Amino acid sequence: MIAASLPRLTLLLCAMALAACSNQRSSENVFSVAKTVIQQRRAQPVTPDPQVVQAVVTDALSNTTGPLALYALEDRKAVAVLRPIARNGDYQTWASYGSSARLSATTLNGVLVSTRGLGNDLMSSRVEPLLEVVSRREDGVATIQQRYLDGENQIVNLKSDCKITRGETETLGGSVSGVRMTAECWQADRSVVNSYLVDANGTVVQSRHWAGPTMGYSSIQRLR
Amino acid sequence: MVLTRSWKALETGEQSMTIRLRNILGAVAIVTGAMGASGAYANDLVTTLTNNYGTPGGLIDMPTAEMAPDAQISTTVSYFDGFSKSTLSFQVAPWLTGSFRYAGTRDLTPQFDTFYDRSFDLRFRIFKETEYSPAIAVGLQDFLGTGVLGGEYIVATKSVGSRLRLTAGLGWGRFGSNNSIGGFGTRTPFNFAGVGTGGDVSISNWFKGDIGLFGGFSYEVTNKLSFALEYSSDSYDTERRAGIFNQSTAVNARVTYKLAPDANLSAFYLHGKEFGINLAIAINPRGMPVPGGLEAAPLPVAVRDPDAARDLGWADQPAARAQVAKSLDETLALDEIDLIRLRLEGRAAYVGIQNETYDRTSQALGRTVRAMTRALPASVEDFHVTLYTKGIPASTVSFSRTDIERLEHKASDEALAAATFRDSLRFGNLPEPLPGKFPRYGWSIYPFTRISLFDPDEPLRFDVAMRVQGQAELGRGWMARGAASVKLFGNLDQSNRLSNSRIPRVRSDAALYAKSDSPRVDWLTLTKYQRLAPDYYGRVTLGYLEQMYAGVSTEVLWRPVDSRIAIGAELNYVRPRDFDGDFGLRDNNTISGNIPDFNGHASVYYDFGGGYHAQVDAGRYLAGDWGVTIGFDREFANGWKVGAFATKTDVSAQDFGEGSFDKGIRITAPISWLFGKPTQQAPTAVIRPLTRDGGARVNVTGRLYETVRNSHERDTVASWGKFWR
Repeated sequence: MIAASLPRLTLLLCAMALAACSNQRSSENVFSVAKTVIQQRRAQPVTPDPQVVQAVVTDALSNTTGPLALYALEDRKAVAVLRPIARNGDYQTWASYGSSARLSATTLNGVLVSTRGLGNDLMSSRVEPLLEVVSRREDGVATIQQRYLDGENQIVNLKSDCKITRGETETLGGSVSGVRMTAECWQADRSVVNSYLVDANGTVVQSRHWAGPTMGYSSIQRLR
Repeated sequence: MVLTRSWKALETGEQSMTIRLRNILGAVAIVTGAMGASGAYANDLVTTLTNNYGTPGGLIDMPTAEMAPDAQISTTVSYFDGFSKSTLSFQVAPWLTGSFRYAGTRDLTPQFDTFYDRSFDLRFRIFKETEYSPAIAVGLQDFLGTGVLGGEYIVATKSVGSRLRLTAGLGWGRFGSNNSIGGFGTRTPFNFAGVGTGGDVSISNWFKGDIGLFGGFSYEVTNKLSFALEYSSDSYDTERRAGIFNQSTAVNARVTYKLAPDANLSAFYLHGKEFGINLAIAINPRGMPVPGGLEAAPLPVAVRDPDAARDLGWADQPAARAQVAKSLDETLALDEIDLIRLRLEGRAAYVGIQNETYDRTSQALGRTVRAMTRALPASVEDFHVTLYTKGIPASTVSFSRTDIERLEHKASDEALAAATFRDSLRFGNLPEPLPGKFPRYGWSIYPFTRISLFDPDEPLRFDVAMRVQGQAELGRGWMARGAASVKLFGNLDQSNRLSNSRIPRVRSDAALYAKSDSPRVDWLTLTKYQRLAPDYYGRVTLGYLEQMYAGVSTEVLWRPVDSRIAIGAELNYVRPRDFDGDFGLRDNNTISGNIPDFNGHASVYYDFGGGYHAQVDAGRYLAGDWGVTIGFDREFANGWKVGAFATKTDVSAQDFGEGSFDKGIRITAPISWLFGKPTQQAPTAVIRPLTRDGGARVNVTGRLYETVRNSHERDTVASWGKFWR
């Protein structure tokens, strides 16, 4: 006869009906695991109501004084108003305005270089060669790197070779004008098209930048 | 001095106007992550299909040279008229598959209504497929069991285009019983009288006797639907002799539908006579549902004002120092890391943390140094973080603050290059304990199950019980733990299989422990952990150690902080506990011998790198038998572990009884992997085909090696990618 102890995870079903409680941190019981999994299966991304987004923007503009940006992650249909929380050299780290959820994003000259707390996070990027060409508003080529974690917590370094071309002058929201720069970037098994609106100082005021295999395109627009 | 501590302080906006970013992002991450996990290994002749024996392959009864994706764990249940097989297969390496199977055959022998049998397989791929040559694999089926399913084979599989795979092979034993093309040597044919105690490795029979020729193909009609046809070289001799199988043709056919990327349902038609079904579900530890996890964002690094770094004014002011300690404590608490010790000395900070939140130590470390940049005066340049575990220092990791500021947005390996790991005692300079941190109490109440597998009368028995568990950490390595449980319902008490052991009954009386319904003490112990010297650790545990034994367990471990190898020794004094689980003890006498007072082992642990880990224990086991245990595990940087172990002692196969020697498999599944939130919970399942009295050990919680290794350099570096996460 065999006794094998298969602890809590294995017999989810038996234990579902039973309560479990604890004073210990990060102690997950079978019930909460099951509930989380079910919720995750059910949740579907929904496009936020543009009027709600506009209301948050208006609210942020009138209640704060510092820089603000509008952030969108297209594939996940997520939109947020960002406000800065930390600066390290040229890297600006932002969190979403009006939310206490611990999510953050970091930009370098207006281009996304990392995210935290979003799932499948972009851990870090090397985009300086691209930014150098883009901010000069000239044609050119550059190689960039974007780093992720795989399922075993190992860094995956995704390299892209980009061809950058100068486009037309555009005006954004009636006030900010700049030159539309397009970067077509090739990786081993896909190609993406990024675009950046660059003002006369070389500052990226709006960007649509591919953020990763599961994130898709991320766009950031400076509101102030 | 800037002391921005809380995340909330970083936000000043209205709380009411929230866009629910997190829910949306998290949900999509789960779905896309899970879908992406299995798609990466498209070529190289891998398959998520399994055959009726539960081994990777696209045919029906016959094996192929295909392999599962690396690290795949698959469970297969197949059934046709009275024949059931449940198999757990693990892709140990890209070229090696290991399988454990539990097969039941109705009316195979007169003694049993259903004949249940456990078996192990191994399959080695010796040549990979190339453009012009097939993959070739060699396999051993049921090489460690009774041999009723035993057979060996050499098989070749070649893909033609992306959808068709052709297989041909030579089989011996079971696979040589039909379509024989000759043979060499003689093979002892399987018969039930010759089974004996089973568990023998009958190497003399391997690749001997008649050789059967088999072959077939599998074809992917669509991405969801596939079809297979084979010519079988298995004539089911034993089953035909028992009158429970007959065949009209050696041709088998199967249709498979892919329910999900790692779930396949098949219907098959066997030998022109039998219809059956096969369900295979797999999980791959390498493909985390949300790679990188879903935990909250870390606090960003606070970069110092260049002029502030010269200010040492705080150092002379006790009030300022106390304020710094409070601030660091609160900042770390935001990330659920415990600050237990602290010393500030001019330009250096010595910080002692105990991490009971993050399963990856690198992440706790990364969050600690970021908290330090936010809380410590600008003049502090040297960060020394000592990682405490169970109240004792295991390693000290040092950084310069300038590096942390400089590398925050760089690749994590740059931060690794800037880190120095040292044994805490060798480093010295241990910080002083902060007041009020101990004692700490924890408790939980939760349902759990006790499971009994493979009893021929009832292959799965279990009790569901409720447990109250508590522990007190008293500081400086003292821990008190206790748990009591009460059975709610279950059928473990219905087992009537009493032990027939010929050696002291140290484990085989398990059924007697399940008879009582009254509340029982699961464990009640006092433990002292101690650093003995640089590289040396010690432990003494006293009390009710486990369900069956009480006593004293002592252990010493030698493990340098950056070492692949560790050496340990354990000595235990034990007394058997009463069957009803109260505080009483039994005397050492059992019907078949005395349980000796002392047992113990010397152990060697070796980390091969690349996730492969071995452990060898040699010493005296519970029943007084002397022997060796060899364990081999594949460990993943995300916390999964899959391994196997075997123990051979001076107890003869005859005296050991069925199974001949102790062996089993073990799987550790981290909860953090499943749903992306950091937690150190990682339940381990140990499955033994048989539990008997030879090669048994006392179960002591908190052995030193597993206690300290997470804080050491190799394990921390293995998932260094989480440092900036």
